Amino acid sequence: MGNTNENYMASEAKFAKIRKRRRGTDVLFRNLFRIAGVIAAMMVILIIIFVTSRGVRPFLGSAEERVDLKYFLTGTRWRADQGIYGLGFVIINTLIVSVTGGLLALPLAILSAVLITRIAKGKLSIFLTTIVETLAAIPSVVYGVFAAGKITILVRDLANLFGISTYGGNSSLAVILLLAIMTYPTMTTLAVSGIRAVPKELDSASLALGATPTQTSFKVIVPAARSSIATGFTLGLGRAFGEATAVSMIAGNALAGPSWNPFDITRTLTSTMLTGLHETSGIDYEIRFSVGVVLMIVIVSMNLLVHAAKRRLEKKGGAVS
Amino acid sequence: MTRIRKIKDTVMQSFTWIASGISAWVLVAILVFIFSNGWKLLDRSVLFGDYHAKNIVSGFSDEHDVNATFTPPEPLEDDEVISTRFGFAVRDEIDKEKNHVHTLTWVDDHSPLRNGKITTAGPTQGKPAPFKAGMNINKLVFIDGSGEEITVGRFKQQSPQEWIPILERDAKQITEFHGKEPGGGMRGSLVATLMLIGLSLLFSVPIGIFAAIYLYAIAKQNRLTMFVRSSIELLAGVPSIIFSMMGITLIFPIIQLFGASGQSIILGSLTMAVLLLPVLIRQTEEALRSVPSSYAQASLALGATQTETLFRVVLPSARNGIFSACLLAVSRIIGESAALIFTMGTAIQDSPSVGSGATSLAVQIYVLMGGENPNFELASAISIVILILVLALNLTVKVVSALSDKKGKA
Repeated sequence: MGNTNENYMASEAKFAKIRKRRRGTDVLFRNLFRIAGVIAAMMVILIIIFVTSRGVRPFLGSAEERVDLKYFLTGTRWRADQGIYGLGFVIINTLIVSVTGGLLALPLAILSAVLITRIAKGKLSIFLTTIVETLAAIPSVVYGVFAAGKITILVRDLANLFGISTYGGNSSLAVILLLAIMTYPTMTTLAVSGIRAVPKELDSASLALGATPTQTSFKVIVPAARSSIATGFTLGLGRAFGEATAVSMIAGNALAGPSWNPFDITRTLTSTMLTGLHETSGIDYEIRFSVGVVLMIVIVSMNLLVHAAKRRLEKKGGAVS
Repeated sequence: MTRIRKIKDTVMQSFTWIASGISAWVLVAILVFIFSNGWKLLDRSVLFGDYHAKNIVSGFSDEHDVNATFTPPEPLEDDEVISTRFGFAVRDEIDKEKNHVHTLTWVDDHSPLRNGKITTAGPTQGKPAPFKAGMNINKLVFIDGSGEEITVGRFKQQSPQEWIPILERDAKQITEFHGKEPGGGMRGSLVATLMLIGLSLLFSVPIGIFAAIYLYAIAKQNRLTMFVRSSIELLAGVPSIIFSMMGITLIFPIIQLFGASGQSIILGSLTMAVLLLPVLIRQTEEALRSVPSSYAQASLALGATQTETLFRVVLPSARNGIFSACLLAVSRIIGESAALIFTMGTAIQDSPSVGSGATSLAVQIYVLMGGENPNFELASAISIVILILVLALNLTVKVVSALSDKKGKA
C-alpha cells in the first residue's frame, strides 16, 4: 500500500514538474506570437514616423539650404538642377493620370465581372478569371517594358494622326493607359467577389418580378455589390498612385506643368522620386522623402474621400443590404 | 419580353464581352511583345553570362605540335572559318552594339587556345583563361618560321577569311591572344534575386507565421486586435516605393550597427521582409482558419498544451496554405522593383554578395530601360524569365489549393 502511494507521489511530482515546464513554454510562445503581431502592427506606424521625420528635413535646415514649404506644395516648376522644387503641378498631374486611369478601368472591370459571374458558365468563366489573374500577376517592370515599347508607340501614332508631335510617345495619355491596364485586375477581382457575395434571393426576386437576367445583373446585382466595387476602385487607385517603375519609364518627367494636354509629357510623384538616382546626399536626395510624404498624404486622402463617397452611396440605397 | 428589351439586353451583354475581350487582347499583346523581343536573345550566354563584357589577354608558353590537325565535330556552316592546325573556328558577327566581332564558334578540347594564361597584371595574372566558343577574338599574335612576331585579327581590320589562312600557313606558335567575353547576361541578377528570396523569407516567414498565429489563437475580439488587423491592412496598401524609403530611414540605421554600409542585398531583404508581412499574415491566418477546430479540440482534450497543439496539429494541417503563402511571397520578391531601387542600388553586379549592392532581375530591367537608348531586347529576355517564374509560382499555388480542397472534401 505504502509503496503504491510513494510511487504515486513520485510520479505526481514528476508530472507537476513537466506541467510547469509545459506551462512555461506555453507562456513563452504566447509572448513570441504576441511580439510578432505587435511588430507587424507597428510597421505601418514606424513607416509613417520615420519617412515623415526625414521628409520634413528640407524645410527645417539652415536658411540658404531650406526649401520653401509653400512653394513646394503649390509650385509649378521642378528644376532640381536649379534648386527649384515646386511639387504642386506634380500632385495635380498624379491625380489626373491616376484618377483618369482608374475611371477608364472601372467600367471595364464591372462589365468583365458581370461576364465572369453572370453570363459565362463553367470553363469559359474559369478561363476569363485566369486572364484577370495573369494580368494581376505580371510584375510592374514588365508592364513598364511593354508600355515603353508598345503603348508609347501607339500614342505617338495617334498623336501623328492629329498632327501633334510627342516626345516619342511619352505622355500623360500613355501613363493613363498603362495605369488603366494595371488597375483593371484589382478592380475586376474585387467586383467579382462582391457580385458573388450578393444573396441569391435578390437575384430570384428580380427574376420573379419579370426582369430579364441581364436587367437583373445591371440593375440589381451590380448596385448591390457596390461596396466591393468601391473597395476595388480604392485599391486600384492606391496602386495607380504608388506605381513607380513602370510609370517613370514613360512619364517623360516634365519640368513644369500641370500638363493638361494628354499628348504632353508629364511627371508624377513616383517618377519624381525615381529621377536622379545617382545622388546619395544633399537636398536632391532628401527632397525625395518629402515627395514620399506627399504621396502618402495623397493616398490617405483619396482613401478617405472614396470611403465617404461609399458611405453616402450606402445611405442612398439603404434598403438594399 | 419586348423587342426593345431584347435589343437592350443584347447590347449590354456585348459590352461585357467587349470589356473582357479588351483585357484578353492586352494580355496577348503583352506576351507577344515580350516574347517576340526577348526570345531570340534568350540563350545560355544571356541566362548564365556576365553582364559586363570582360577583356581577356592570354599568353601561351607551351610549344605547339606543328603537325597537329584537328577536325571539327560536326560540319560547320559556310561563314565559319576553320583553323585545322590550331583547332578552332571563327565567324564574323554583328554584336549587340552593332559592331563586327569575330566570334569563336568551336574550340577543340586539345586546342592550344585552351591553355592560355592571363597576362594582364593584377590578382588574376597567371590564372588559366581557356578560350571557349562564344568569346570574341580581337587580336592574335604568333611567331612564324623565322621567329618573327606577327599580329593578325580584327584588330588589323582583317576578316576571318583573310587572317586564318595566314595563321595556318605561317604560324609556328601562338604567343598572345586578345579576346572579349561578351556581356549582356543576367547571371549576377539571377544570383542576387536568389539571395534576396532566401534572406527575405528567412526574416519574414517566422514573423509572418507567428503574427498569424497571434491573430488566430491568442488575440481577443477587442479594440487592440482591431487595431492590429487594420494596421496590417494599411501596410498592405503602402506603395512599394515608400517601403524603399522606410528601408533607408528605419532599417539602414539598425543594420549599420552590425557594420553594414550603404545599399546592400541585406538591406533590400529586410525591406522586402516588411513588405511581405501582410501577404504572409493574411494567407497564413486563412490557412489556419481552414483547419477544422475539432483537430485542435481533440489535441487539447488528449492533454496536449496550446503550444503542442499549434505546432504539432494545427500548423502541420495548414502546411499547404502556408506553403502557398511562401510561394506568393517569392513571386512578389521576383517582381518587385521600386522597393529595391533605393535599398539595393542600381549597379548591376556580376558576382553579387550579401553585404554590397546588386540588382535583382526586375531592377536590372529597370536599369536597362533607363537612359537614352533602352535595351529592349535584353529587358524583354529578362522579362520572359520573370514572367515564366512568376506565372509558374502562381500556377503552383492554384494547383496546391485545388489539391487541398479535394483532400478536404474527401
